[in-house]
Amino acid sequence: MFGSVTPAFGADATVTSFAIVVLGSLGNPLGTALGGIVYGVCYMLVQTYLSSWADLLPYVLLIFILLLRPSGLLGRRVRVA
Amino acid sequence: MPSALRHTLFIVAPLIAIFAVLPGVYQNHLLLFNFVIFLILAQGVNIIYGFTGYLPFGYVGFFGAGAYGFAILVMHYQAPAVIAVLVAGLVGVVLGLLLTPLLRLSGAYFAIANLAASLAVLHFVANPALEDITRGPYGVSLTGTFNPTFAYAAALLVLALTLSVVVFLKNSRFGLALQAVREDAVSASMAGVNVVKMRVIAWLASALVAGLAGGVYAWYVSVFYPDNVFSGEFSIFAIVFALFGGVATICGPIIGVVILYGIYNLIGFTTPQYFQLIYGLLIMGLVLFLPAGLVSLATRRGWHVP
Repeated sequence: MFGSVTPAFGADATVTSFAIVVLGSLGNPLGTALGGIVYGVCYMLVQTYLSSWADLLPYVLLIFILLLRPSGLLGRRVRVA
Repeated sequence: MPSALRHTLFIVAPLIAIFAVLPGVYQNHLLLFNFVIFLILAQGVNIIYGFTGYLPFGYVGFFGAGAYGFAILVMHYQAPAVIAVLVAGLVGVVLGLLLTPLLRLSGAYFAIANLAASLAVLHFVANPALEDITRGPYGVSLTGTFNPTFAYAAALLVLALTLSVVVFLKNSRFGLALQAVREDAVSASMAGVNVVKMRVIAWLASALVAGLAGGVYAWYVSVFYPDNVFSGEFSIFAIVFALFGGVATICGPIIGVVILYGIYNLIGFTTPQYFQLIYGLLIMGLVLFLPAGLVSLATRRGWHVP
């Protein structure tokens, strides 16, 4: 994969970074940093112990955070129902 | 004549009849089949988005799950294709049940979570660790059940089912209640509508439709990879077609599919090099100038559109 450039290049990174931003909380830079750390640590743990499931991680994290705290880790508690 | 009967006689029956006759006149059967599949998916999006206001950005998750449900049943249990298609619908419903907690979210959050859910299902199915069950990323080949004629007929049946669900929603108190929930959930619940139950039923109905469509698709193409049946194109196309025609109507998504998918194939045949450019510009123009869909041209003048 390295050394090739396509128009669809980076679509995966977009989804992952979007998941991280939502995980931290939208509109909060500190939250994004925290989300990045959480994601990175989780990703490496999953890749070490259950390597083939690592691709699933951003989506699962995204679903869980949206269900448990839709405003993100550092977001203010707002009711979005 | 009651309006449900009128809708069935003048919209559903002619459409099914046209698509039943067309394979005899037109040679490109795959194209016709894709039309039917997109009609089903666009109406499925109509059921959930048009009547409840939840935008299912990961609608393809149900479709792909249905296709893989079909594949697993045929590969491991040598089931006849018809039963496998029914099970595919069931798989869609089960996935829908698993994802019901997502209905707690609203607006963009629901769309994002649904997209994430469909990608999660894709990566789950395409996982090399599950090669024994789903063949992982290497794709499945179901040559034993390959029968395009029956698969096409099954697709028409599924389309008829989907359309009758939409006709029911359009002409029943249930559909009216759903639209009330879409406009204002609090007021609707004050008026005695069981909001949660209504939403879940509409959600599961659209999941069932997509699961059945996935099963029929797997039957028709018989060789596919996870990236084919979980391709985001299905969700995007289904949503764009439904929105272009106009949601919460019976004709809207049908018009959308026939016109937009027709143009799509016309460009694909004649000028494939400008294909994505033209199509992208077209969709941008539609969103800018006709955000409520083609039917709004008629409703703006006070005409009733079923």
